[in-house]
Amino acid sequence: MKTLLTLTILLALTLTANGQERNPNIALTATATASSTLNANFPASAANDGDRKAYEHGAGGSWADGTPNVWGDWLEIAFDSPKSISRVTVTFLHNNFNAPPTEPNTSETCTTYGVKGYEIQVFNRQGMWQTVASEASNDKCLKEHVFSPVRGSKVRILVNEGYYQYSILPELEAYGL
Amino acid sequence: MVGIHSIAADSLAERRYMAEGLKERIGKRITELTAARDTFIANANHQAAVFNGAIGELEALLKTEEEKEAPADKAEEGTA
Repeated sequence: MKTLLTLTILLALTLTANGQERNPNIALTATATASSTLNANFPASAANDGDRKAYEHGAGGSWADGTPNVWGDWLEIAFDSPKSISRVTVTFLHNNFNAPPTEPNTSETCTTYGVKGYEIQVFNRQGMWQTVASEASNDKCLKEHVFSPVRGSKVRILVNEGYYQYSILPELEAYGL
Repeated sequence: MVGIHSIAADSLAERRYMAEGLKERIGKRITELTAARDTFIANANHQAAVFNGAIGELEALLKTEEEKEAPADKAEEGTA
């Protein structure tokens, strides 16, 4: 109950009265790298370019790994200095990504190219990857993970299972306090 | 008479049993084919995106080359 209250307060603190973000997405100014990439048109940098829609999938709109049907892929966002992170948002590729672009939402399902099982991890001050959130059977296009703040220099998504043979990620956003 | 009625009933039950089995197998096959079709479409769409990306890259390269050549062509025309 106490944890839930803390998380609710943290989420409320990140929003202003008119619902706009008070804290910027700090992933936008960070450096993205990945375990592998399918080719130059699916770069890691697509995951922190501020575009959740990924209409340009296949032309730099989203990251895709280069090891089909092999899991354990990761996409990492490295900050220039350690940050306190309390919220991470990840988006997945629309089932019909060729359709006119739309903002992914928390009720839309992404079960063709989406990621089913994953962990959100922060590289903490002890130099360890600390799991701050995890999913085993995600089927949504947008997932927001709010957690107690963790200070670290990097954040990543570790993919344990996908619906498609490649791990595909249009966007990973990170927010501090 | 009782014997004939019993045989008829057994036959009906057997036919129903076989029909149920057939329906179950057909249903299973539909599920399998639907999954195979969906996987095929997903692969086709993704592969199309891969090709589109590569084509886009080459088109950009071609445009750059053409733009490089254009001033040279104009210069040649001027001297002719």
